Amino acid sequence: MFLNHINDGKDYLDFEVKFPDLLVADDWLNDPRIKNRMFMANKQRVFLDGKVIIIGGWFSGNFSTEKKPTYIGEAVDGSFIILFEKNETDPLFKWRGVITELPSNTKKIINYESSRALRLGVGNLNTGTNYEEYDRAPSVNMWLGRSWIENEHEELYFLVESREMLDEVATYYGLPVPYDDEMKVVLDNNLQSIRFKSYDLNNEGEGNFVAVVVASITFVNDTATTLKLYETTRWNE
Amino acid sequence: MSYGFAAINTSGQTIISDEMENLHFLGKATLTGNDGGNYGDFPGYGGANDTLDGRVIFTYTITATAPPLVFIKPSDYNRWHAIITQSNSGSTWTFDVIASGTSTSDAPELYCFVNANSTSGTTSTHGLVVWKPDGTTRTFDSRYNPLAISDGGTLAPPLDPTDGSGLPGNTSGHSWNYATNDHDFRSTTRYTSSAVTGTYSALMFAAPSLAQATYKRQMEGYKKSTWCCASCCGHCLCSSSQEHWSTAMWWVMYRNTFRLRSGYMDAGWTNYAAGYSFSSSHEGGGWFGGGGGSYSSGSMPYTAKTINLTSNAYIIADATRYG
Repeated sequence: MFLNHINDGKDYLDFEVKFPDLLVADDWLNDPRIKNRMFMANKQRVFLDGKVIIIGGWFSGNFSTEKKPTYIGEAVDGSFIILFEKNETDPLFKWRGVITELPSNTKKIINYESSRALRLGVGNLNTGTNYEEYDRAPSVNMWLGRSWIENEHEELYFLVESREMLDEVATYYGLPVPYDDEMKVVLDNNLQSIRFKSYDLNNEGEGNFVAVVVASITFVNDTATTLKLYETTRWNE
Repeated sequence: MSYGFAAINTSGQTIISDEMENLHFLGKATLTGNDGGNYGDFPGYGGANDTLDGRVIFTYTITATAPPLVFIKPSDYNRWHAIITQSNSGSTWTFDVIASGTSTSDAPELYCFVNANSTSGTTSTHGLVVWKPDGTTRTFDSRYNPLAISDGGTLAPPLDPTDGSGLPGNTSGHSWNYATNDHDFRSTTRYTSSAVTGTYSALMFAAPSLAQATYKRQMEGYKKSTWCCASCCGHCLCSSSQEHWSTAMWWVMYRNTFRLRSGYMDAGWTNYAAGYSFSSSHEGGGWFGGGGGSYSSGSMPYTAKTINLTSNAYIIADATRYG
């Protein structure tokens, strides 16, 4: 559980000291240009049924112009880790995840694609789809993208505009809400603080970007099975 | 010349002679298809100033033993036309004609003319035939409808093919991911004119499309997020940042085209191809948090400029004279 304990800014900065095993395990952390300079700028947690199931983050070499950021995540129950690598098949999502199941070390690929709505909002691109063929909750106004693992499952990501919207989605699919009591307070009072990114989705210019908070519905054989919430926090906020 | 044949008009110009080969109507080229029409807007783009004039490429063939001179007789005189490629395989000649707009209806007709000696097939026994001194090569044969030119001149399209003010260019300083085109790439007002006489709806023209142009609008976006990475006693000891970059680019390639309208022959532009590219990136990667990607619906054939811009000779004839 390398990442479970990263809770505040200090731990972000001390990551390499606390977890030397990970430093040894991954070449990118042994790069002499960034070693001893690592810190975690963004942290992500994935909520399901009121519990955190995945923790991840963006690690960046600091105090240097030679930054080499990397995203990494792991399942809280220790069942897998995930590293992201470059994959240039999508206009906006230029990565894919490599999941390593533990302890078997079996690897799987999770692919990502952006939706037509997100492409239009970000870059006025009118390519792609909004997944009309899926069973989409009517309370969602913007579907952001899709991920999939071949022969396993698909995940549709959507823009969370309020806690009530999440509740309505949960009700529509007959699934439990993803957040716990603590996260419920955040969703109600400071939703934008867990945004993964801000985008100028309404073409209103800097200062009017939309805080994009992400949740997802997982489909297995066309049946909605889980509702997840993706929390991104900046260690300085 | 101490013998032979010459027909000279009242201005002293030779109309028919035994040395000069006249052009004669060979027939209309056969329309074999079209490309379905395209570029009524920027492919892949869905924002402001998306609309283009559009174009269709019609393809024709005709059998000729000599290079034909081809006239375009519009079916829709609101459209702009030009022959953009001409090739042959043996005696089969193929022509690609660009027409503005995306409708595959109203394809123009191509009237083809060749020198007299390359015509054949008539069974008519009446008319005037003029041979060269060799006695076997025809220079004129009235049985094949000689070409009668009713008008002509020279024309060049304007250098800037775009309706937008000035030529489009590059600008920086836009916000990250800014991708709203602010230039009108249509060509509806970009042409030069020359007066012609006659009922325009009966006229056809022959003119080479030599000029081409390619122009682009490019916008560079940037954003820098800065945060304090270590602090003490209320002071920031060091700061770090995440940089974001974006580039949006629209480009259009044009061909010189022509239009006949009441009283005028116009030389203008029609967009032949177009593309949109967008790229967005920032430090970091993965899981919605970083990286970024790019999209492109094609690349410019050459850097932005107008080439081969020169006055073209054009000739006009009355199509109703020919079958």
